[in-house]
Amino acid sequence: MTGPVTAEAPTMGAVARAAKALRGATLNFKLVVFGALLTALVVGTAFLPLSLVIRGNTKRLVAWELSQNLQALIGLQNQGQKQLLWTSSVITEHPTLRAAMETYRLESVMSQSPRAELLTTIQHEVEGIVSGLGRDLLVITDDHGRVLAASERRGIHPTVGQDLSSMKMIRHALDGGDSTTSGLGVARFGDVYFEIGSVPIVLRGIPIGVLLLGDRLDDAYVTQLRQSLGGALVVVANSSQIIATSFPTASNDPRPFRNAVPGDSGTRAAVVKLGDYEYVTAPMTLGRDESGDRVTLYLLHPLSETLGPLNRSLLLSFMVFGVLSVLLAGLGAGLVSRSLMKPFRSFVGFMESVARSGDYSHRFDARDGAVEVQTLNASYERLIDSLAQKHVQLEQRTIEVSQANQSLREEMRERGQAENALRLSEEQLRQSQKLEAVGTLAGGVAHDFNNLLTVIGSYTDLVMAELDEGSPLLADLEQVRQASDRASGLTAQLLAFSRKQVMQPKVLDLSGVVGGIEKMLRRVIGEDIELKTIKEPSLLSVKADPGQIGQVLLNLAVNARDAMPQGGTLTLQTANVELREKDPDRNPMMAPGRWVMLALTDSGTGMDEATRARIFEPFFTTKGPGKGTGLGLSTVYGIVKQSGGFIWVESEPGRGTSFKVYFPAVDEVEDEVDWTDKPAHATAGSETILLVEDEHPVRALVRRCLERDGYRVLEAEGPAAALRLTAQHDGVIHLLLTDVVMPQMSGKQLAERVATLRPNTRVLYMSGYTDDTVAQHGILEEGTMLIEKPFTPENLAARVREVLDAPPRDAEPVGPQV
Amino acid sequence: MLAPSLSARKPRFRPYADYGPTAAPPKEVPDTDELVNVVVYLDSVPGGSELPAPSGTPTLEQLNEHFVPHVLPVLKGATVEFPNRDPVFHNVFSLSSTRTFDLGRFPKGESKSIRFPKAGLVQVFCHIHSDMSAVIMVLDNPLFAVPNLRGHYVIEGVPPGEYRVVAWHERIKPISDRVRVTAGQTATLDFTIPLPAPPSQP
Repeated sequence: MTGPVTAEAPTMGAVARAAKALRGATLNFKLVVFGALLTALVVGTAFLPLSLVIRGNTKRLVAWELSQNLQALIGLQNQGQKQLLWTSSVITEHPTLRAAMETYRLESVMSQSPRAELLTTIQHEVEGIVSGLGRDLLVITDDHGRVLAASERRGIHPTVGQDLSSMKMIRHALDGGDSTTSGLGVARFGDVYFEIGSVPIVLRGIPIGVLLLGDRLDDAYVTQLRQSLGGALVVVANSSQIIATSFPTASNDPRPFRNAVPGDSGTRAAVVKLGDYEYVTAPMTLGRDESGDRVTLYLLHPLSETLGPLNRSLLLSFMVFGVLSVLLAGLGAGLVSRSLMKPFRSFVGFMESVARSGDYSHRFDARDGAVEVQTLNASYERLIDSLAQKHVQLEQRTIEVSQANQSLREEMRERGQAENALRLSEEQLRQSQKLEAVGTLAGGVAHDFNNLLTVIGSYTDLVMAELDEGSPLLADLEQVRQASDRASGLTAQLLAFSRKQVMQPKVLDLSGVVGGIEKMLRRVIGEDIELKTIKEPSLLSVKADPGQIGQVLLNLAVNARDAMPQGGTLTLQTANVELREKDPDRNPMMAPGRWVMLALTDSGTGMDEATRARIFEPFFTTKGPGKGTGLGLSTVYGIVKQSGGFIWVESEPGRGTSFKVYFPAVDEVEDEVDWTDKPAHATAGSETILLVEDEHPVRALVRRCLERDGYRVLEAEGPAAALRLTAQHDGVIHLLLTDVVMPQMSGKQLAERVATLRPNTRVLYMSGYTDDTVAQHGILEEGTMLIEKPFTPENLAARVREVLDAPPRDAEPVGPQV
Repeated sequence: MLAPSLSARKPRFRPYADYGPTAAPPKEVPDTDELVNVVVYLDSVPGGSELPAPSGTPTLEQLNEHFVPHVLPVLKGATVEFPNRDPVFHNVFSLSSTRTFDLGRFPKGESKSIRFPKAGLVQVFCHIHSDMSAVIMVLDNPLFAVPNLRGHYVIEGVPPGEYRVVAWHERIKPISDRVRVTAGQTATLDFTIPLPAPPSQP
């Protein structure tokens, strides 16, 4: 089975492709194809019945011709039969034959043994007759139908003595019937059929025997008939055997003739198919043999031969006509389609123009068009109206969407900024925390160091004061003194970094500060470096410790100098900076508002990212060993932070470094700052001083110094003892000299408690280290006096004297109350 | 003397075609002269040949293309004359074993004769006219007769005694019966002979 499938597949595919192509074709094309196909179908359909009619007519014509032939044949047959009977009759007149027969008959009647020579005589006569007649068969029977003599051309005949009385023909002849009608028929002897005429042999009016004269029904018989009739002839016996045919190469198959048996009503034309050809037949019954089998002669005329040329010319004319019709139909369909499509095409053109222009208000003039076009136009107008409406809605939506999109982008940008700021904040927070931790550590260490250094330095001073001018120990002690001073410098820097430096802020004009320190800076940076200052004339004020600002400037200048070993330019600039709420460049840690910037920019070597990240760490330095402490920038950082400001550094290797310090601007009136060194005060006195110091060596030192200067000292090791003394002491306590940081109570709290008991007692704090709460605010109260550790005995004496000599405060009585 | 009456009729014998089977003609009227073609004779008469021969010469005429009479009984040794009374030639011949002859053709007025020395049947034909035929019955004794048109026959001069009487016709097997003839008396013997159909045409 795969063969047919595969074979059909391409065909099916082709049909499917053709159908698909047709589906996609234009209406015009479809109409043309449809018209052509329809016409082809009609022509083809018309061809069929016409062909059938022609075939039927031809068949009738042939049949008529055949019937004519049949009539002729019947005439011939009758003629032949008459001839046969006539010949037979003539033969019966043969005297010797009769004499022999009659003699034989009588001898048979009279005795049982008639003479054989009589039969011989009869046989001899019969053969003589047959040879002269040209007939195939001659049989003589006696008056009982027994065969007396027989002769056949090929020896096929009934034997002598055979009883043929059962043959109808013979009975009829013996009964003296009319030989012209019933004396004819068909008989079969052996396998051979004969057409036979039978006549009685009558002697004196009495039949003495029968004579049968016949011809073989064989090919020669029909061939002879065909010569006078034309066509073809076939003789069929019992519809089952072809016994004679005029076809040279005949088929022995009698089946085609079964449907062409002559009816009782006569002959009828039928069509039989022999091999590839069709024949119209006219059957004629020749007779029935003794067993009743019909022997039929068929006249045949080839239908195909007659139809062939007719069909060819018919087919040709139909093809010409068909092709012309198909072409005309296609042409007609095309024209109709064109005229049908014309209004639609113009409508389509209109729609395209609308599509191009986008002008929905444009209208098609369909008044002249067909009803269909008007309907289409009406639908189109409704569609366009709804489309225009939708278009407006769409535009609105588009605007909304673009707005939403815009705001979304905005939001995303803000979020990105916030994320950046957050990341930066986190970084800075981490840095701050790191520096904070280092600062706490350093501060703790510095605090203890300060106490130690105060002791060392103070005692050294005391010893030196005790010694004579020429004492050789003086030089040694001087060395101790200087080392102690340097150590004090270091601890002071550490404290500054850790923001534990005691701050004494003032409202300042930074330009003024810069101007004041400029001369000193020039000395510090040397002659190779050019100093430029760009000062904002109307600079806003800041609140800061002027000493610290100086430290900042100095440290940054030193740093810049070290970055420019080959010389260069250091630019010092002040400026007002206003940060707005939505300033994208704003440092996220800096609150919006007004700031004052102080910038130092060098043209030095610059630094890389790794260095820049660590420059504010204490003891981090890029300078060689012994060249720097690593505390300069740390100090700057601590001071700036303590002042509520920010410091940024921008640097790239080879392109210099720029430090920018921001301080919050304030609206307060500037304080006066005296940058000149103050003259030494009188240091001696006789007032009573309550000394509170938990650190014993320091307390002892301070007491010794104060007592040396003539003061009376009440010594307390902590706030509790101090309060007790305050309550118990009978005399006036002029001054409370107290440490700031103490275990039970801070110096400030103590001062407040003391003030409740003795409001006139003045307070001087000693500190190398402000406690957390104080440091958090960064400033002591206005008017609070402080002496920083480590201090020298001279410093202490001067400071005490200063506090004692200060004018009393407005609301407070200066003198002791008691 | 024998005086038989022959009344042999077959039912289907019909002189007129339109007569039905029941409409047979009356018996009194002889239907045919076929009765004259019957020969009644006494068989095996001892010393029969010594009996006196019939008088006259037996003659078989050829008249109107017929042999007349059709049946001619003769005594053995008789000579039969065959005169031609027709204006055409006739021929007389016989194929019978009793006496085979051919007298040749002869015209009107001429007569041929031939002697039949042997008893038996002799069928005579004419070569020229095939429908002409006759039977000459050559008998051993002269005691024979041919019935008349009414079927009566008479055989005279029969010596007393018992005899076998035979009725012969060419179409049938001979019918025989026995009869006792007493001197001076007439013995009567009737035969019923089933004769075949007469000639359909004259």
